[in-house]
Amino acid sequence: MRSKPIVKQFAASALALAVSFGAQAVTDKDLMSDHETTGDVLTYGMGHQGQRFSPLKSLNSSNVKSLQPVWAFSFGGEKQRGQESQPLIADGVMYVTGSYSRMWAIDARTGEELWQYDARLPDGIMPCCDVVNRGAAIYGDKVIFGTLDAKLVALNKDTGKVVWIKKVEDYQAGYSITAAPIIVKGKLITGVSGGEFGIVGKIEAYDPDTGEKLWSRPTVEGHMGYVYKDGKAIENGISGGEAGKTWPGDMWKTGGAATWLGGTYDADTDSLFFGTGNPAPWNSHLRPGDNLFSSSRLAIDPDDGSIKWHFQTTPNDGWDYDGVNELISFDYKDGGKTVKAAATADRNGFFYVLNRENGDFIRGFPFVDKITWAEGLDDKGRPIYNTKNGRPGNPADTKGDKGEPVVAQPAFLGGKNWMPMSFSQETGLFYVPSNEWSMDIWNEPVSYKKGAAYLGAGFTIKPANDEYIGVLRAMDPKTGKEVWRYENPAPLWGGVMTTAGNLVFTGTPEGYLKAFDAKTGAELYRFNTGSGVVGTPVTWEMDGEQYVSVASGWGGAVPLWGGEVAKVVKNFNQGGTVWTFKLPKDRVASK
Amino acid sequence: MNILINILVFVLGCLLSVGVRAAWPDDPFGSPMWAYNIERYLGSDARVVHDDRVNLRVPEFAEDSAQVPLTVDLSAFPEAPGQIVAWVDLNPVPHLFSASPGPQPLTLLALNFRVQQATTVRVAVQDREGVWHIGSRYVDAAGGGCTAPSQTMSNPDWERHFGTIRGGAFSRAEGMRYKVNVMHPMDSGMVGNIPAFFIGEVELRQGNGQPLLLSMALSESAAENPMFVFEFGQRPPRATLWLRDNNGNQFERRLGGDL
Repeated sequence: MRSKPIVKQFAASALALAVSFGAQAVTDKDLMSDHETTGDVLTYGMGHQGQRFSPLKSLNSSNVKSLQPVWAFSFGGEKQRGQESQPLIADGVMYVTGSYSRMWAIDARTGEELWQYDARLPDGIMPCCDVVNRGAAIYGDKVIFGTLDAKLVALNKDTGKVVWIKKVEDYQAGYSITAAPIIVKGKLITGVSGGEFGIVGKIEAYDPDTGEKLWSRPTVEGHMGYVYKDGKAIENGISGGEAGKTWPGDMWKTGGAATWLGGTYDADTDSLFFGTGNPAPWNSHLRPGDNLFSSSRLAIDPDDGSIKWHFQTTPNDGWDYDGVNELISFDYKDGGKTVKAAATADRNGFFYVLNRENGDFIRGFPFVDKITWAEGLDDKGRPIYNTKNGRPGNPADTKGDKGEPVVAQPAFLGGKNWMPMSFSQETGLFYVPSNEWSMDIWNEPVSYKKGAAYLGAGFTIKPANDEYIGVLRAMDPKTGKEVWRYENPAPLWGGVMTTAGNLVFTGTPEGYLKAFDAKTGAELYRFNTGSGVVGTPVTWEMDGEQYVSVASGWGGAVPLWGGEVAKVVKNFNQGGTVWTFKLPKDRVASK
Repeated sequence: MNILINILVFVLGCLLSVGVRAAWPDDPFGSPMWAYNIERYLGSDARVVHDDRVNLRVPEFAEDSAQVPLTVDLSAFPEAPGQIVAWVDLNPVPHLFSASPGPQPLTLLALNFRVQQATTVRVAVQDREGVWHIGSRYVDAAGGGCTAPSQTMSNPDWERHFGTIRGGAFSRAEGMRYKVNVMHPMDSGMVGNIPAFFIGEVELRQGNGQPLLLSMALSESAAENPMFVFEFGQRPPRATLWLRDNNGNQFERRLGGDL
């Protein structure tokens, strides 16, 4: 028995950690089958299609009442607020990101910390909508996530040491990254945030081993896409063919369309599905035209970033109806024929079912109680605008600076915002976390200035009802029928998960992790985590027991932008904890 | 794992008090950490001698506990130095640096460090036989250097100068002197709500496939905006300083050669 000098010890300690967790490299195959493997959660979305459906059944609607907390892990420090993360689970280790661009590796059995990484952020970061992070990607021996100063960081998953760091964009121009990157066919794919600052959205692929850029696809018409070979940028076509088709003048140069919520991937069609944010500025009178590819869903070729098809939910958006919400691939039977569909619940209040092979509109319907800005959708899925008082008035038509205000519903925080919905393969229903609110909105003149908010609009949000704002809805994608609803006093801001055990899980700003009967909507379980839940739950199996985890920590855009909603949420306290639950073995059979 | 073994060795060492480890000379400064840190950083079977030719220069009193200059003058050391390990006995993380010089003989190494309280400072240099030659000095200090927020933290504009390297190569009568200052907060992680953020890897590269002039592992005891001085007995044709911090940022600057 002898100890070694420190020089060797530095290298050896990393090895020791790696050995003690028997860490295995995560492969493309592991990622592609994540929706089927129950022992891990390797992708944001619990599968690349983003269904957030687990085939696990040992925890089910008859025994969920016996679900018990096993451990809680504090993110520590003063940086408690805004925990919108979805944990990953691999080899008995949880990888969870936190606000302010932090990540932890935690022993999933005990809740003990294995390592922590804190990105050093400059003071000048400009996240529009809180300091959140939504999750990481895992690949090989690395975990990779984006930071609020618009960098990608790859950490050794066993030691937490930085393997590479890559600047994606200039944070001083308003860029940041809050979404989880995804790994598809050996490429790391990310979007960018910053639509409120007149940035240009884009989707980019990087080499997960080195951080080398592979391709870049701007999401505003007129900007050139590139593929990179041996460090050289090779032109790969202008997005939309040329500038100026759907934008007036130079407006496309600062056109927004941020890809701030990341994307999903469908192997059947070999397509990445990324949504794009609102066009900039908010004042739509400054940019007549459809403003492609803002407020759209894009199908992207993962090999070179080419756009295969697009579907625009809100052309010439004037309400901040970002089109970023996740597009979830699913199949259904129509007269014996399998339809390869994809669905999304948009900020604008409509639920869309698309053909995921070509982007054709199959059907659409409101999933919120009231929509004022449009009278409906035409047979191509394009909104039929309410031309009377749907759009805020043009400031140029009035004497002062302020255009005619309108009351618009849903409010700009959306019928549904970033929080991911879930699709159950058992019930065939989508479970949509939605909110009922309206806004007063008016337009003002504005011009672009680097790094400054680029809105040209004023607004205030109001709850649509006294009793509730949040509504968790079970929606039938074939009929547009709302099968059941759960009404929540505060706005819902956390993601949803379903399981084959007839369960729907989500969290509430009041602090609860809740479980519902997937068929009836009956509330079966609640546990208060001590702070608002705006994260997304996951479930997995370990040592023969089913576990559920969710991050807790009130924050996000609602307390910053919620206007009169403050009445409901102002007393919610901050947290910063990841909670883990399990169904003990001996309770599985209990009725 | 190794750390565990180290602790185990230490506990056994305490229980048995003699026998496990090599016989070490007494510490002239009587530091309580003498044996513990030798064992931790050099190993329990390290052969150790005091040696004034490991000429350590530190101020008697640290005017600024967060910026204490340390110079290791090896010009009197009889051979080209091997491994060099420096530590500050009573700092929360005592280890300051571990340096591995290349084939060019290193004659002087200097940098600034932090002291948490009045303490002994050690530099151990390994000779060809594997024996560690230790130079020791005592620094009196008001203390607090490791747990005071960096000055960078009070500057909201810090990123503008972050990573700026000023430095150059200077010909000496015999050999070459490199002097480099890097703007980096070097946060130790011991100040509340300020995560660890420091340069951990330093390399002085010759390039062209030549061996490194020096590689160095820095720990949290190194000071903010560190100033490095390296002197070599011969004149390397060129050198590039390369640094990497624990956030993965890399910095590089050419120092020598055809200036």
